[in-house]
Amino acid sequence: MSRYFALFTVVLAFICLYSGYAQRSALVLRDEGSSSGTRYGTTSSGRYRGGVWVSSPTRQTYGSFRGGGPGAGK
Amino acid sequence: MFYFSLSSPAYRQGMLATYITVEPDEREAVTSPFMLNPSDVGALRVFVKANIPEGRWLTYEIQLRDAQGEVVAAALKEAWHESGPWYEDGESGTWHESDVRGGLDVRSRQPETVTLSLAVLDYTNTAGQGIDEPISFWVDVSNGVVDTTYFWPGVVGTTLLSLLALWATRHSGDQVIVASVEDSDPSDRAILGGADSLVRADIDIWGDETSPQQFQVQVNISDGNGTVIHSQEYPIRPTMHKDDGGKLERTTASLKLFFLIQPLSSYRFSVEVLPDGPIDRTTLTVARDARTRLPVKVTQLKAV
Repeated sequence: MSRYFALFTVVLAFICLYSGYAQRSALVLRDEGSSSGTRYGTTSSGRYRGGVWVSSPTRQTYGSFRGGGPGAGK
Repeated sequence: MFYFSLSSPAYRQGMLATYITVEPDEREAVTSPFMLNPSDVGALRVFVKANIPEGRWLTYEIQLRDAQGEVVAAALKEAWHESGPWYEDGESGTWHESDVRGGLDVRSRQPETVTLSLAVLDYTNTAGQGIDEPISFWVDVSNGVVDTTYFWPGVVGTTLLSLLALWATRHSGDQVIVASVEDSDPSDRAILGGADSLVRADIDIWGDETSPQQFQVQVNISDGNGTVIHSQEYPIRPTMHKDDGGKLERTTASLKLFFLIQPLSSYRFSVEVLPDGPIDRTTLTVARDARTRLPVKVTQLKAV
């Protein structure tokens, strides 16, 4: 049992270090399969189709943000 | 320390750190171009902070454009900065909250010249009416930034797994005897032993308020013929559990012994705790093929 837990520990540590250093969650330019790479509550506003960036429909019909403070929704 | 070394600027290379202003009639501002090079470590991090006054809602888009001016990546941020009064249970005050930071991590497979452009899609007051004001943004672009999002989940995960590994080592091996009696003398017989099979005996004792400062634990091991091959008394000091008034309520004690017994055969383990009057319960657990994390004192026994 101990050896499996020790092995999992090493594997998890490796995955975390690799993901951090290799930036697995970053957006890869012109790569349709990559993650969005957004941070701080930013959202992706499009995606790649055939290596070309296509804005999402929400980006094109934008204009309805109502704020996000504690008063929102009251 | 480790955290700081991970997020240290060893690989980090600042590309751009500046304020840029989006004028109300242009709705967009572009930075000077910079290089996005492929790298194995880290990514290009675009960090944007909108400096907007209280009572504003802002939707802005972070766009990366290639040398031809085509958008190659974009991300949307709904930023807000608000304040207001609060009343609760007769008390009152004001709150200020904002969410104005946005960001994007980007990697590239080939060297590329990119420019960053900030587009204001919507800028209103809290009533939803459009505002015509210049907006200042703080922009920080760095290359080779390591993603530290994985750090804390990693620390927590590996710590839990390490603790599990330590726990599993303490309880390693095949349990061949589990004898628990509401008395002071558990015993049982099992097949165990062999040259490379470590035998671990765990003895746990629960005593009442009349427990003395020290117990004597008599451990006897006898072979298949009933011949005693090991007989020893181990003195142990119990842990005293006292109530709030400092009066002794109960005691606990445990003893861990390691043996190498040859040959593989049937052996009887019997334990007796003295004095037996205060003893509520005694548990004897014997495991074979046990492992330890650190070297331990092992008693070598040989049956004739």
